[in-house]
Amino acid sequence: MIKRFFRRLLASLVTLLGTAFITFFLLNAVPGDVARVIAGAKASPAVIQEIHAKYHLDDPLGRRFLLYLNQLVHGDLGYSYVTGQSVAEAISARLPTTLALSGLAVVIWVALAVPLGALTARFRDSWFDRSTLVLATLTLSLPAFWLARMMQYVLAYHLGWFPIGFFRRAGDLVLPAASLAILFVGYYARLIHTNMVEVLDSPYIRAARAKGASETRVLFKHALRNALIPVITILGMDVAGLLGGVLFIENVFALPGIGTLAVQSVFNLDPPVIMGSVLFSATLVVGANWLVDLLYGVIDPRIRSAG
Amino acid sequence: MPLLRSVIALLLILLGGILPVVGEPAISGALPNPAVANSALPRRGGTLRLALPTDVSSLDPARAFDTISMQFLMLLYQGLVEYDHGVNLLPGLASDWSLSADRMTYTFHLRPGVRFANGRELVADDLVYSLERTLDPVTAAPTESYFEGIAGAKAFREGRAPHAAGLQALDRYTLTIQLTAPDPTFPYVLTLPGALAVPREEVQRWGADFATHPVGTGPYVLTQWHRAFQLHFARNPLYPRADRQYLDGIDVQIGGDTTLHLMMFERGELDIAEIDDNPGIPIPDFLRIARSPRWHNLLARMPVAATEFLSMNVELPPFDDVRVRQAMNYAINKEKLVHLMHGMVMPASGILPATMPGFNPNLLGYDYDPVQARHLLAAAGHPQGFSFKLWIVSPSESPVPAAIQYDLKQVGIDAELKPVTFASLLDSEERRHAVQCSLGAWSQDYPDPSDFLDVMFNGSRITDEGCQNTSFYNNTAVNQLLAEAATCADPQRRLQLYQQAEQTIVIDAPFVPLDHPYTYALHQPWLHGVDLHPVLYFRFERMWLAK
Repeated sequence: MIKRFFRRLLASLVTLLGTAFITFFLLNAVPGDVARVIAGAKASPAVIQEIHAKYHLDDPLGRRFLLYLNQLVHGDLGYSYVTGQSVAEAISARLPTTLALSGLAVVIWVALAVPLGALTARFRDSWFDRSTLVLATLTLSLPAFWLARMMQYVLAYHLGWFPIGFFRRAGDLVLPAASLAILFVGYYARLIHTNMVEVLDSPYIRAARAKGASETRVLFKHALRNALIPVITILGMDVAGLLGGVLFIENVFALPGIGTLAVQSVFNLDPPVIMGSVLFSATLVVGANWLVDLLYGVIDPRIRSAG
Repeated sequence: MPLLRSVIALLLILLGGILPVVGEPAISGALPNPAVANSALPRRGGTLRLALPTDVSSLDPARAFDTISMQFLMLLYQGLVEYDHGVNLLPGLASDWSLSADRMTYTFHLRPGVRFANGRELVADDLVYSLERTLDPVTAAPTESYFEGIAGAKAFREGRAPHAAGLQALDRYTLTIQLTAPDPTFPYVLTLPGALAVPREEVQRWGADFATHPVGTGPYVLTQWHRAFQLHFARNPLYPRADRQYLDGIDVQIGGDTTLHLMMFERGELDIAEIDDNPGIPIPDFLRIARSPRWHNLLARMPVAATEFLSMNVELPPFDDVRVRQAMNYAINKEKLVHLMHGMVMPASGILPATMPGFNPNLLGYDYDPVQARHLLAAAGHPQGFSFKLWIVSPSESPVPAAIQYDLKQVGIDAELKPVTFASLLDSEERRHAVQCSLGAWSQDYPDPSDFLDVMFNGSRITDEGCQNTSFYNNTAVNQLLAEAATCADPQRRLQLYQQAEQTIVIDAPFVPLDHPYTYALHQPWLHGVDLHPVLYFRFERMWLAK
């Protein structure tokens, strides 16, 4: 188990190093002088030269990457070229919003997907099952930014049920989180449905029914518990997908999270912030995968012994 | 009924991309009292609510030089001079000023009793410090080059002198600025952020963080700045003029796009929605607003002193032939561009915008004439036209590049669009022999023709790298006219020289002037004093709320 732990840790570090390498070199492959972005279109050549010297922009690329890695090792993500703000500070200031949004979205999608999955399995081939399947397919196909904008337009702008945007109080996150959750509800409802159908046909469920257990008890106590095990694993792995959705949702609703930071840094061509947000997101994804992997080993002894 | 509403809402969401939802939302919050809203007398009180798509880059006047930051800098700081409602200069921190007989030394007398927001009185030394800070290479101020005409600036910048010799505080309230040559535009240069007064002790106390802890002598102070989230300004109690402080405060929310801001505005959650072409509200929204009986009277419009153009590199074929460049000018239908932009721009025949001193209404430009374009192309040896790459900034929703491409195709010219980032375009087009042709724009820093003609068309300024003369146009006659105008003492003669230079440049056709944009401001009926300024755009300190 310990060997497996360290092996996975090493793999995670290599992944992060690779992410840093690829992002750094891709950013530097983008044509355009970052100093121009910092100083503006009308800056003199002397000012541009000053900025080049300040940020080592004329150094060889390899040396700059090593400098960056050295910075990272010391826990320093650098400073934004545009605002001068510390990247670590910018990320930590936005993290609570992103976590709250993601957390609430997970709660909403689980709260919707679990009963939907369980009930459609129980009432298989009914109109309820079929219409849920249609809705699930629809939500699976919708682009995040489109759905979020439409929900904002109709529910907030036209009907006034929710704030249109910005984050003042916890309640302001309900509509953005619901927009994010809907993207996952369909997929999870179908996943739970498929597992439930399989479980509901298993002998121990028939035995439970034969013993006279109520249908609710059979469904939610005996069947659902087993049907959810693979779902929990996938839930952990979907952190990456969640971050992708967060990026769009935060921007549509003007929430000050990691997603808006990432998008603004790209539009500003602000390499330290782009690097910081990509590495931070990569760390979250790698961390979540690592955790799931370890948990999987805990849940399934066969994997533990094989590792 | 709630269930029915929910079902309808769901259907609207699902169909929203296909079917437009008709009708306008109700305004949340209290509607203003019409009697008060129509009152002509300014009132004190209330908080102005704004939204910005991106955070303000910096509130340090030595570091900020973008349109958004500048509007807030003007709340916090003052310079020696300031603009009136138009482009005339009025005393700011200085009560008056004079110019020496050789037109090289300005003497400013400061108003006594002006205080920074930290309570200390402003003195002449503060202006010397602020200007030297802008000149200091360590500051890397984007406005530094505008102040290079100060005597001793070069030696100071290069570390050969501890101070810029041309900046002298003669006593507590008297400042002299000596230039290396007469420069009629210098008073305008003093309105730029790099000339705004900052207190040395606060800059030294905060270091780089002075950008987020600004202290000036302006009518407002920054009370809160949650980066990328919210800014709040409150009245500066030490500022003496009540007619620049009607509002109790200004609340700026950061984030979202202009579509979101427009929705919030229409629901009464914002007092101003800005409509311009950068970053731009979608044109359908502009048309809806302009035609709406509710909003069209509240849509303020002002021509921007800017020119959008197609720049041709005269050092690269086929644009090294003046006939080809003139053919390009004849081939592009500018009236069509105006139509496509729904009147958000006006057609340009010359380089200088109509609001610029020296604008020549009688300038001889090029009318749309594709037949003449074909004749010129044939004469230049391109009877079948030619192909070239047209660099454009991406992402852009503007219909202009495609319209130009279409017009050129009609005369046989095949323009391949090359979308690049703004940084990439700047970097490339300012390098010699790098870009054949590009779409660009230039806006004024101050209202003087030199800010357009001298920067973009003076051949004596051409450099291999970082050259703002992106067409690399070099005409000795034009260079001489520009050199003479730069130091000319007679304002009328000076403008005539610029007009002569502009006419020659237009004939030589290193670029196709396309249009001059308008800027728009949509405001609520209860907000007053929204007079867009030709240089500074919004002047929040002059606005007042009637609700």
